[in-house]
Amino acid sequence: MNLKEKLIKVSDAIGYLQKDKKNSMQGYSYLSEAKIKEVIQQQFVNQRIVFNYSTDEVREYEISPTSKGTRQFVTVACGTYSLIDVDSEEKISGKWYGSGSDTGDKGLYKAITGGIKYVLNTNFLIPTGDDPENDDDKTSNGNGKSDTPKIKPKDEYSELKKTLMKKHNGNKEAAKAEFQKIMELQKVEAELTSDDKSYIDEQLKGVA
Amino acid sequence: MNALPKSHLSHSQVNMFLRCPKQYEFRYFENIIAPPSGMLILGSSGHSALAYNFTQKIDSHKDLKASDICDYFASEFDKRIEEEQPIFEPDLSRGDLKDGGVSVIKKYRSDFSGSIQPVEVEKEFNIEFENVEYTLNGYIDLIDDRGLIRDHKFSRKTPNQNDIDDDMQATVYYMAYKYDYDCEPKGFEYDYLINKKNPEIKPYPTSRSQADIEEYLGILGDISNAIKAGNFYKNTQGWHCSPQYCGYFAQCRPHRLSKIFI
Repeated sequence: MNLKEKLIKVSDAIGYLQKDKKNSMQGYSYLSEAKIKEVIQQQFVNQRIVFNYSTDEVREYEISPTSKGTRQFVTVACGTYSLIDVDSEEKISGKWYGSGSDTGDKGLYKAITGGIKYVLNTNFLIPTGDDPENDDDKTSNGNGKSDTPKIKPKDEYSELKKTLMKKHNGNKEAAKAEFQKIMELQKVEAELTSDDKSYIDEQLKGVA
Repeated sequence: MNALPKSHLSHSQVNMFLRCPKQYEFRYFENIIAPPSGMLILGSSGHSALAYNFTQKIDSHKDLKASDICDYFASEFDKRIEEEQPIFEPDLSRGDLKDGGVSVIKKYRSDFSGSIQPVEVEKEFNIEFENVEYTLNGYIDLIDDRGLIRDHKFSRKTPNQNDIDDDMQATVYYMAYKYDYDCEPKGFEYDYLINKKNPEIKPYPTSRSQADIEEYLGILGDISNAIKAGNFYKNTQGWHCSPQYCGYFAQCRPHRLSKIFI
């Protein structure tokens, strides 16, 4: 089996990877480097493939400060990666690029991590559900969560709820209690058979 | 991220934020209620007087006498002046405003309101969303029996049609109508009551599309994010940033007061 055939085996074994982490600051889910490495490393070991990389160039720029005024920097790095077949010594190499921003000294590590993660993801075409070209996801802040309000279909009881709120002078609890009572009565009414209804009508006529 | 100051947004909140985010912060986060202008008191009292007439007209199909509507306006105007202590524009005294209001309402009653049959007056709306925690609330002045939304504006000047066509208030009311009635309104008309020596009543029809609604929703989302992020910058450029038109001017730009009063 040559290196390319081994890589197809790796790709086939990886399949779909569920995003396993959440960025608590910006509220988006992502696939962690640890998870990618864990899954791919096992396959590389199985197929006797070595992954190697080097960092060749690093640049750092100061960008706008954080909302609290702390200085922050973006680090851009690039380098070379190689996939080596231990059995045949065949080798496939390519370039990687990554960037990472940080207020301290972690920008470079973030850039390397991001770059390598992207190489592994794209080389093995790992589906994660992300589509950077998907313009339908109208995010205004790039956090993966749409902030454009989406109109909710109207609640069929909204007029009744409004009327009850007015009746109880804005007292939510009282309006809610009456609404629930109405719903319970409606449920009871729905369960009545036509015979039950006829029986009630007959009895009421007698009362009248 | 902070929470919104209220569980709902309204178009007047959106409009204030667009005009000046700092003004929004003073009003909704610091809860400082600035005195309104005299013209604003005329507008709110005039709205109440027209609603007073149109509410009874839903069933009666008849307008009240002009004197009844004007009496209602006058008492509302006096009450609000006492309660809200407005700042009067230099060239428009309390008496001028009240007289102007009475004559423009008389004109509206004699020349205009007869052709309007309301089905809803001061209709409350409360639009709920699937993906955000707030609602969009407000009131539509009037919906007539042809399915036309009408909004009354009390103004000293005639507007230009471009401003009418760009005004987002009409977009919000279109959205609210579609939400409540599950169909498009027949149209939208701003009925301008122009308060001048010889008062005039001018209708300005306009319309809105689904694309306008979607654009508004995008703006609404961005504004709510800016509010939650506490992004309240000052917009000092424009007519609104002056002691006459902004009740927060003294707190916000004290260094400019001396220049203005010299």
